[in-house]
Amino acid sequence: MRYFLFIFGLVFLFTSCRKKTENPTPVTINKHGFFVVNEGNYTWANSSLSFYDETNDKFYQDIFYDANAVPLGDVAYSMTIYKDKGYIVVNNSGIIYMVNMSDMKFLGKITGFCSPRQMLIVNDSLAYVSDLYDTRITIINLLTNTISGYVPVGHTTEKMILLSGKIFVVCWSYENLIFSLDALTGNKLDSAITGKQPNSIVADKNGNLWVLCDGGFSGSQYGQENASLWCLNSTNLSEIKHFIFPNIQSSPTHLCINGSYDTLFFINNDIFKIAISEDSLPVMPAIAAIERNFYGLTINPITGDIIVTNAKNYVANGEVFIYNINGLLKKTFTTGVNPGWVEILKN
Amino acid sequence: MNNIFHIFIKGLMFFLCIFLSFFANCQTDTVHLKEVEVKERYQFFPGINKSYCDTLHIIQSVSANLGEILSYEPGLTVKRFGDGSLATVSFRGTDPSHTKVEWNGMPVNSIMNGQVDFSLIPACPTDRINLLYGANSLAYKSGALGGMISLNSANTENLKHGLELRQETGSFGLNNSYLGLVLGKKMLKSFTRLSYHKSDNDFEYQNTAILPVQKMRQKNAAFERLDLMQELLLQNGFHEFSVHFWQNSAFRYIPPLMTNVFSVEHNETQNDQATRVLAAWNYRHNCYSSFIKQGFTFNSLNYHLNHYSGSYPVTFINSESKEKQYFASAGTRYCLSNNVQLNASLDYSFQKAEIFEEMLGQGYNVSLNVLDGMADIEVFPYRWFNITALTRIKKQQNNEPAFIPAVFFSFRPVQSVVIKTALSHNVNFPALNDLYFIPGGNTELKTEKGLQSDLNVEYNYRFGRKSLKNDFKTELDFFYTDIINWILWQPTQFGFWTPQNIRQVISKGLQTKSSFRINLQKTKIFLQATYTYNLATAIDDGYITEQLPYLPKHSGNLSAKINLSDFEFFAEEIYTDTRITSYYGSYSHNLESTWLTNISASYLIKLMNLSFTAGFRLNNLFNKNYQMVLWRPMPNRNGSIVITIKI
Repeated sequence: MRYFLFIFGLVFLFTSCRKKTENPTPVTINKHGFFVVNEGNYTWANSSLSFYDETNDKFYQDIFYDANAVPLGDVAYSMTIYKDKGYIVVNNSGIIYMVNMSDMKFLGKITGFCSPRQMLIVNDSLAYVSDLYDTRITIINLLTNTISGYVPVGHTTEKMILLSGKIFVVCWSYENLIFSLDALTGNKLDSAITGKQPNSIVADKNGNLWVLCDGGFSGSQYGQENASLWCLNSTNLSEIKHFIFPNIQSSPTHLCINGSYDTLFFINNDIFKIAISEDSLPVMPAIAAIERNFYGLTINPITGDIIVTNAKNYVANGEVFIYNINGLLKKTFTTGVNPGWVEILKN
Repeated sequence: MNNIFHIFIKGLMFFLCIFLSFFANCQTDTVHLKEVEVKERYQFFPGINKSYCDTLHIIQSVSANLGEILSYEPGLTVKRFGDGSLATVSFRGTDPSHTKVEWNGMPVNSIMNGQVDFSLIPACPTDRINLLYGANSLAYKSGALGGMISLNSANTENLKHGLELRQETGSFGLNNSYLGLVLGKKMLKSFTRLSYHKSDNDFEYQNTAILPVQKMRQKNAAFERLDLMQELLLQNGFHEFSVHFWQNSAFRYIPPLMTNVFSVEHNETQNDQATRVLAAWNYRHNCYSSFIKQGFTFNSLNYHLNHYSGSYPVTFINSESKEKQYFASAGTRYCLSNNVQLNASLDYSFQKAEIFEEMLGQGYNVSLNVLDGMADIEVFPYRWFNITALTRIKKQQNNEPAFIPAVFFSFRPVQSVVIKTALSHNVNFPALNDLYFIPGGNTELKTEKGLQSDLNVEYNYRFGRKSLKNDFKTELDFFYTDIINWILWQPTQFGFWTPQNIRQVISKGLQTKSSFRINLQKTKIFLQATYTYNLATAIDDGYITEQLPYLPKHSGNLSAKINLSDFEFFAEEIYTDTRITSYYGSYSHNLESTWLTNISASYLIKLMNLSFTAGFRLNNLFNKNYQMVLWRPMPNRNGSIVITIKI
């Protein structure tokens, strides 16, 4: 009996002497560089935020956890920087975290979303949030960090841009629509039909809108068509021209524009670029994927660098590549899982 | 739903009180409960290593489901998403779909996902739960690349008529009721069981996955489960006829991840219904035996999800899946000579699955025929040595037939030591969701193939006076499994997931289980310890995972039961090593190692034919914050009071 009690005593002693988790070290955010929002996997809650410090040429993993000792959440999808604050939209957690841009420390949160995608900030007090499932655009009061209302648009929404006092919104999931809102009142102005599943939108130097449609996917209940690229007049959303991708298997994403707003970039397995004046789609890629799974794309408006991410098999840690304007590889870093959104510091 | 349960239970109690009064004069004994593990050595398959899951933990934890009970067994990894939530069991680093489960010989695994939710199976102390690790499972079934769990009703001879009532009330609205009734005499017996389990499951926990970190109460996690089991057993000479019926109803809310508690209000529920009916005939005479079984299973699962923003409904998912399965099996065993035995069996099942999701208006509806035949020869060249050669052929509609060989050796160098070894090449067919799920199903999938090997050494030592039955038992298993064509669901660029045969897993390690029993005059002491060391590496198309997620390298538990006259004290310590939660070393948080301590005590009063036991149980005694699945909280310290009456 004594031996038995001794053994149990030892076990109980062990249970009360466990080592605590080490405290993470916060990082200081330099003025030049970019963030990579790593989505992680749906319901695995393994999102993270990486940062490239261009000044010191250092890449930091998971700076949100390092600053706050709490995980970023489930499917972090996008990030918006406004003055000295960063807003990270965590899609499946239904939350937007507000952080201090100097050290990534938690400042506050906006809660109560269903499936938020992108936050577009109009001014110090007003922002809009698109949603993958909610058929309303959510209006945010940035002074109180609360939901102040909704714009019932009747469609789920994806990417948004602000141009000349209007917000242009594409409706992606099982939709084929673009519409515009008055940025201050949220009143709906115009709408136009595009190709199936418009996933991204940019504005060029002429004030025209470019919309990229992936065409859906094989086996989808919504159906599939050839992907397309549309150029629309931002005044009334009338069509200027559009291009059809010849291969039904093409599923282009991540339409971007360079700093001079005259050249478009997108991912279609490889990276392609096309001048806004062109009359046909490019055939040769600007950067070939070569067994990489390009997943996110951004053009640095100042340097012209092409920043592209690789999601590999969607479960492993990804990569980010920095190419110069001529498509020559400058840097490669390892990111978190599914690096989707790249947000550049524009100081 | 609550009211229906309560009215049903009250009605049944009233009926039983009236009915039992007619039998009151002829009741002589109580329901027999096994206390500890035994080894069924050389009963049917001499070379097969068949373990019994012991009833020690079932008796101590009245409200436990089978998933919790199996977590005490070595070599098993139980992944529980929370109390009442999904619980899966994996053998030795394999997938939950590689764990095959049978109930009295009839398959229980979902034909859609190939898995079993063990949180839906009540742990009944009268059942015999057999564990067949690795290749040993082939004696009963193919496809168990990890192993097999066989749930069997109590033997006719072990059922003594009587009534048992149990009531447990505990933390977080836990309410568990059990009724067991055995009627009948030698030839014909009826065994009725009714189990009702309910919990609000609204425990408080520290949410370390949101900012600011704060104490929260678990929401949307309530569950209730009702099981009715009825068995009729007729024994006449060498013949035994039996009819088994099991109705299972469960309703549960599905709580959000700890990271998602600030999303819009949501209502996520799952309603499971299962009906199983089985009729069996067994004949045993000398060295000849044969059996015929026929059964039918009907499962339905309704999953419902609503998101609300205020009163505004945002999303709506309502999916309903139905599984129907007809099962028939026949087998025979014959002694060719004193040293040679033959054994053969044939299983047939017709499977039909339907799933439909209302919002997207999509689903599938398929049916399938499956044949699984087995033949073996057992040779006993010496009394201390046995060799068994076994082969199975399995044919699933639309797939090529699979040939599955296995060989078993059993060796007894001295009286107290038995050494067994098994080697096989097993095959598992894709489940229906793998093939046909929309979106993502892949009809081009191949079968998963596994090389299974196992070495078991068992040592028994009895000491002291024979009448006291003091003993020490220990067994040590070494295992090595290599699975190729492992079906892995992976994300695609379109957001949905699709299965592919791209994984190879090599799992190896050892497991041990030891028990020590000392019986003194009025004091009985029983100690048990288990330990598992398991390394499992996965290679997926060049991506390497050094250790599979959620598989601890080290795990084990220590249990002690002391009976002092009519008092009983019980304590257990459960250790789980650090677990990674992602593949290929990709970014994710680890689950820290945990030590959990549970204790219980009870007191027994006997009056004539009536025995009355009152006790309590404390779980997580040292109030640890822990998770079994990342960002799924588990309860801190909690307790319950249990009252048992046996007539």
